Amino acid sequence: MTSLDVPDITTPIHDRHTGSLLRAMLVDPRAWAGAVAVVAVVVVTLLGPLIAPTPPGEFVARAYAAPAPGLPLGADNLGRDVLSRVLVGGGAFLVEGLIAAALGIGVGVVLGMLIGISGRRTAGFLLFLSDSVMVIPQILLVLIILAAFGANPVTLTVSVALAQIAYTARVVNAATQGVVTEDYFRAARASGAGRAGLLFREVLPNIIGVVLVEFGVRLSVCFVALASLSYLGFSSGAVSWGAMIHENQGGITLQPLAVFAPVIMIAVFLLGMNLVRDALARAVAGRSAR
Amino acid sequence: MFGTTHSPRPRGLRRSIPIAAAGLGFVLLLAGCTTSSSTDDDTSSVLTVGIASLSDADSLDPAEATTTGGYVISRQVFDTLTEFGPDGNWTPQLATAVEPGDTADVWTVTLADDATWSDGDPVTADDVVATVKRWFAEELPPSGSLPFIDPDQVEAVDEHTVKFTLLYPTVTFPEAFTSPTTAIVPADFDPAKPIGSGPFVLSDNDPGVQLTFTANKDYFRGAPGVDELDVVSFADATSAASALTAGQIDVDASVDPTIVDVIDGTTGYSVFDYGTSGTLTWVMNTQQAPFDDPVVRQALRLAVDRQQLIDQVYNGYGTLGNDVFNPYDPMYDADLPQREYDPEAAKAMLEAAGYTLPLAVKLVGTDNQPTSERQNEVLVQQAAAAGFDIQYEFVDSATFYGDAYGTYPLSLSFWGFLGIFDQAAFTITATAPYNSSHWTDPEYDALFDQAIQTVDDTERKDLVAQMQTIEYDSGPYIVPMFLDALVGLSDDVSGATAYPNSDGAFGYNFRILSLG
Repeated sequence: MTSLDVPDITTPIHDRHTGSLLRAMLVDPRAWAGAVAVVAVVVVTLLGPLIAPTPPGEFVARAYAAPAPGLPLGADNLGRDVLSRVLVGGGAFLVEGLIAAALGIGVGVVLGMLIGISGRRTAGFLLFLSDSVMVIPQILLVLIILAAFGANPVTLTVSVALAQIAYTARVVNAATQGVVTEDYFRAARASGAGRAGLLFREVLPNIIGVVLVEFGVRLSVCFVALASLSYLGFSSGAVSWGAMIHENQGGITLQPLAVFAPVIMIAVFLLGMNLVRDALARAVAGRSAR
Repeated sequence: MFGTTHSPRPRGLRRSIPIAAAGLGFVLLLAGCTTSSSTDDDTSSVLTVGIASLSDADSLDPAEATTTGGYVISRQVFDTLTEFGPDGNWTPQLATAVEPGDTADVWTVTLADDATWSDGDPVTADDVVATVKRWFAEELPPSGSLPFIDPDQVEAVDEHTVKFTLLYPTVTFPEAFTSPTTAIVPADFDPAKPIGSGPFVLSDNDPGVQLTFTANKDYFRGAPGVDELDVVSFADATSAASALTAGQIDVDASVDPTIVDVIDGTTGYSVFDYGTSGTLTWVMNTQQAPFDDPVVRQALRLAVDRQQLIDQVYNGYGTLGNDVFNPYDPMYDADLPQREYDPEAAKAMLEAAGYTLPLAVKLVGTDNQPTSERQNEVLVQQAAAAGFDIQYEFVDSATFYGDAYGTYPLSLSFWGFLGIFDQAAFTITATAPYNSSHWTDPEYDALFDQAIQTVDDTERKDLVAQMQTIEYDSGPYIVPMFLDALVGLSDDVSGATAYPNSDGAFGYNFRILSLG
């Protein structure tokens, strides 16, 4: 899906300036713009439930009622207040996306590093497996899982997470390749360090920039996947921006705000995430160029 | 009078979600795609009907029709012996008379003597006998919905008279032949080249996209109102409505209730609205907790605000339901008091029965109708006030009607368009093939068996009242409301008539429509 140039990170851990990534981003205006967008959406999500004018499930008007005093964004497909649902609908969406990305990244990073330090034959086999998964379109993979187990918050999050693993593992494997040829890694291995020690003490600290960028990529992909699934009707049943798009698409000519309001929230959040991630990628690339 | 053997399989099979590639941008693209078609370009009149939606599974063999397109084809190309007419009662169609003996176990069907097949041959009693025998010999779907017919006891008495000697007496006989799946076909029927007696001939078939019919000018009940009928497929209700108001189609066969005002507000177009016996009905599984307890079933009935449901989901287009089926059946018991929304009483009932509130219940639903999801969401919201914590799970329709069908604690099914007896035979009695509630009541079954053998209308109505009282007090179904048929029409179209007991716009009887 997303192609990414993997920076060649070969700097040993004792040379690293831990604050350099953050410093590079602090002077990047695009990072600031992205951060402001992300924080704005997160703040709306956190405070939304407290300031929503009506409970999100309450019927307050007829279906697709136009905006009116007391109903600033109009009503949705069942006559519920769109503003209240936008204010409340971010929580489930953001939490599900965040957990899915973290889960997918977590497993993918460990798998990718394992492939990276494995022997040629094992690595070849594992890469073949992950490539086989990658040829299945991601959304299809998720739909198959949901069809088998039904859509609820757990299956949604886990299936979206599963779909990320192969991609992350590929990227992390490539980054790990750059580490395993370094002397400090060979020295650690020769000194009898265990596999876990090698992975988490020698490899991970040296590819952390790549992992962070990959996390940003996967986060965006997970949110798009969740929004797409909601649009197809697979949502966890909670009030959610993704589900709102699905619910209200039939009235897009009558009450476009019921669709656009959640779309705008998702779009602002994803744009912000992408800006931050790109700034991070530039910072990582800049550091390794030094 | 009552009941048809309409689709003998759960109706949701007709709709499935397109698993299309999805993304946010994709949302905005969907609204605009329509298929265009031209209307009258010379003196011949062409009626264009938009429908959601045709499929490449649409059968040319009426006995195997399970889809919207299959029913459309059956209604245009063929005739059934009887039909549910505009008043909701059955009337003869290809038959001129359907008469019982004294005990309803022998029925005599007299055919119209002027009906012909589209190749010019007359429709005879032998064709009817061959059609019925074919259902059973090939185990086609109608054989499953006609348990009282013995195919060896169907005889042609003369050229236009058929005698049925039934396995057991039943007054439901005439209604059983209203379903488009029971259309009569020639004795030498070839599904690949369907020859029928109906008002139209299928002249072109682009499966899943468009059906083109040419008028049968010699139709025995009078030539249809137009020379050509084009039935065009639309992916969803929104795009069909846009095509109507853009002048691309003359009839939008099913308008979503939320967009009625848009069409009514467009000059030159309006929505023809009539009540039907169709209903989206909640099924409570009486084999599982908590709905094995009649108290919980009654409590959930009180937890549904039926008027609010009609207002919020259906924009007011619908009529109140009272947990029993088909108000258009003359046997319907209208004396049962209307069930009112009373969440406090529901809560009190549950607490008195020892339940700790909120009572968790799983609801499984699919998009078997465009409004199904909305109806389920409203139930979740309304029932919360009565102490129910309903977890709604959406599954696609193939999954819904798959192996797990009948195991859901609570689910929403699409029923109706069946007389009271057929509805009971399909979904309520102990032997009903689609009784996914698994509810049984020996007293109910005894009343049913007695009623279907009772030829006297007054006596039978009394028995049905007793049946419906049992359903009302302890049955497994919540029938919250009855759906309106909403058909979008160009002002050029005339002849629109209500068919309250038939599924689809005018029961898909497009022969009644004219242009200009």
